[in-house]
Amino acid sequence: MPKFVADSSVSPTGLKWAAPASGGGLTLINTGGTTLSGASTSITSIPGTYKNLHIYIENFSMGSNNNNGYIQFNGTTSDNYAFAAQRRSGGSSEANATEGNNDVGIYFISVAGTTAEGGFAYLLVPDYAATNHRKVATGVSYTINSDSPAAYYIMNPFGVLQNSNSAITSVQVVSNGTYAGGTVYVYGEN
Amino acid sequence: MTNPLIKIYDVETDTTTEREMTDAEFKAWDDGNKAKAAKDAAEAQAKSSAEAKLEALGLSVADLKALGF
Repeated sequence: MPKFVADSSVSPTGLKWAAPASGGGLTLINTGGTTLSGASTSITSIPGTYKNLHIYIENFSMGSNNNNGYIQFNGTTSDNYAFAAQRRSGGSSEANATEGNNDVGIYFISVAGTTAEGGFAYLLVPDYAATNHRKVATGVSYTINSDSPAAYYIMNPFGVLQNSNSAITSVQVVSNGTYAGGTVYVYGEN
Repeated sequence: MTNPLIKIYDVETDTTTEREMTDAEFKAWDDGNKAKAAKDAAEAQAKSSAEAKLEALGLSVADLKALGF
């Protein structure tokens, strides 16, 4: 929130805008973004110089309908993740929760199709470079399935990489099928 | 049969590599996907079963939502 500080040299009231506190800016880590392809796209050698990571997965589409999408950290592929998500489907007007323990990733899409149609996912990974706690992520996503059920899906996933306090140095965007398109942007926030 | 492709972008070197999964990577990926599919199927089955029980009582999911569940 902007603040006033007393300074009689700049106005009759002695008030001026205070300089904003430093921090909060986003820096794109993977220059230009990375196009999604194949079953997994990995951003590696992420520097530990930021406070938080913001992951934007834009306009993605799948090689087949009914595919899912999930993220992993540090190439950890075994059953080390727990996640939950509220999900709403436009097709059946459902509002339900999906969850998993000992899964292979944090699922941000349960159903996606072959046409992008504005598919988007956002995930925040706070304090990702710390080495004294587990790493959590939370976000929101939108996608649309082109097959039956032809519907849009919105989710707000949250999850954790268990069993490790290591700093996150890589992020994987994975599907149980393949990505036909889309771009992942990984931003660092000070 | 070839394994699925993966892409790796290295921030430090600004290079992109595309290659097939190794057999070990493929096994981990495939096992995880199958496990998730099995969980999803079990969840769907449980939901369907619960809906059938509700219907037998003359209730529906909409009724439960109306009650705030």
